[in-house]
Amino acid sequence: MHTIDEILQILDEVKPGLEAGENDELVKTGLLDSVDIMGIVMAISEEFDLEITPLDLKEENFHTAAAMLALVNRLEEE
Amino acid sequence: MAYHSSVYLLLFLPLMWALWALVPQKYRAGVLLGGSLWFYWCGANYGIVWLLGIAAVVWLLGLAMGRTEALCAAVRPALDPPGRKALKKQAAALKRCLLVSGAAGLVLVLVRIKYLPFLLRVPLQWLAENRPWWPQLSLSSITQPLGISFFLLMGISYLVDVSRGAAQPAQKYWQVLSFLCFWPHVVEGPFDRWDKTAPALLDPPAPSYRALCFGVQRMVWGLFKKIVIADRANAFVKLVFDDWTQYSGAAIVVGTLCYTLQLYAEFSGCMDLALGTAEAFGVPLSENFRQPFFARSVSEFWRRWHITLGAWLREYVFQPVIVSKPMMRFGKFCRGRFGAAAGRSLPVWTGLLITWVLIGLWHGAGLIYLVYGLYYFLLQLLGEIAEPHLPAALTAKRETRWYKALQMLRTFVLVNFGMMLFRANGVMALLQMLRRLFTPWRQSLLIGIDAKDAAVLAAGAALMLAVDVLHERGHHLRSELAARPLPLRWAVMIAGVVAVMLFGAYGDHYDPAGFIYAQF
Repeated sequence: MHTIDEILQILDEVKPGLEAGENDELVKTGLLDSVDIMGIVMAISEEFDLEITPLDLKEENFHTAAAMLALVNRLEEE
Repeated sequence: MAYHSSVYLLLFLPLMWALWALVPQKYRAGVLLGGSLWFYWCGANYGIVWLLGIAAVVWLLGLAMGRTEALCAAVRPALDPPGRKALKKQAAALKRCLLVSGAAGLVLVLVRIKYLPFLLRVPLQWLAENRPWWPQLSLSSITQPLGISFFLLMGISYLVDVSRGAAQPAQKYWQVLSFLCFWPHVVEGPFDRWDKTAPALLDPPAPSYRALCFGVQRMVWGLFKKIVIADRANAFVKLVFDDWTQYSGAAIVVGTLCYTLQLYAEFSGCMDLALGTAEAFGVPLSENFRQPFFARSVSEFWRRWHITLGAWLREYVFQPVIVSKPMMRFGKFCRGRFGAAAGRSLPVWTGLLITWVLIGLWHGAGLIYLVYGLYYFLLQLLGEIAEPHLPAALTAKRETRWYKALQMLRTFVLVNFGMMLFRANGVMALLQMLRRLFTPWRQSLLIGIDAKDAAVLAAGAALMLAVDVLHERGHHLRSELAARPLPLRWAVMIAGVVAVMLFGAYGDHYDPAGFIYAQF
């Protein structure tokens, strides 16, 4: 199981200055766009050695740091 | 039969609506399909064979994928866990094979019809000039069927959605055909998704006075934008861009602004006509515009302009390319060579480059369209690179009004330059226009239009801006109008129709202009 701090660190690396909280809305508020999300996808798959498929690229999996953590933990279990 | 033609508005549409409303519920979907085929036949004649054939291929492939999934579900309970895993893998491979062969076939059709003459022109010319012994080859041109870019891409999205399990496949051929050729979206889009549009299309709701009123109101607004604004601006634009060597300085600037206004009024007007028509029949289509000139960056502009094309490319090209195995390997390679940041960003930029090239080429087969796509790629790339280096004092002001206004102004200027690039008659013409931009224009700016036209254009543009401001602030104007007394509602409606009739750019003085996006 991974922690929210690991996700927040990735967010900070991909989007410096974002300063997001665990449950802050990131997509609807425009803080992250599709390009940022793909940067996060690259970072997550690299960092945790996970295979992310197009089916996982839903907005609900990336709209908060907590949702990203849930995705990472789910993919790791699979 | 264009959406703004009198045949469409006064004959086809009333007839179709009356028929659709009068027949029993179980025949309404058939009436919509019949109307779509009639509409398509009027625009494409024997080009309809392409539509019928492509719909058949899409339907069969979707059906095969659905059957594969159903067969798996039926067999799975009788298998042990390793057997289930193997079955799942085999089914996924079969579906992938069906999807890839189908999508590749559809793309090849598009490339053959739309792009091959452009791709082969230079090599064939080079061979003819430098290798005289090479046999003379010529490529027979195929007349581009009406709306092929739209129904092919919608067919691909249907196949991808079915293969991903995001949509249930159609069981009957007429259902896929009905989705692909639905007349409000077959000419200029929007790119609709099967799961969003098909339910209402295949099982239409009962006729509703409110839906009819809302639909007609939207159509009148679309007509106003097309006939009063876009077609009037066309007179100015045509002269400046088609005879660019005769104009300079302010004439080119105003010509470019007029083209931006023309394209926005025309394309969004066409969408109003399309979505208004569909709304009257109870079928929801996807919105294609969301006040694009309030965008604060070019990437935001493209999330507000031709929304469904951007969404299609994002979902079916950009994202799958980024998470593909070759791109992941490329990311690892970049990370090893250039560090973690490059390992993340270079694959994303590569995906962006592919997407922008496709956006450019989707608009047409020509070098200028490639340059158009690359222009926006470059702008987005520069924005991404510059963002982390902006001074903190500046970024702290990001949410202030003046900073937002400055960002919108900057985006507006950049988009206008993109429009100039898009409309110019080739790369050489663009370069000459850019050079002539710095030569002062000392004559009248009433080019191809008179003072009355200019006043109508300015008033029309101001009205469009006012409506966009209200929409941006969250108003839903038609719902708000519906809550007003009946006389006021009718007064607004009649005023709209009268404005179109009085100020519309038609008659001997004007060239009738078709929809620009219909040629794509």
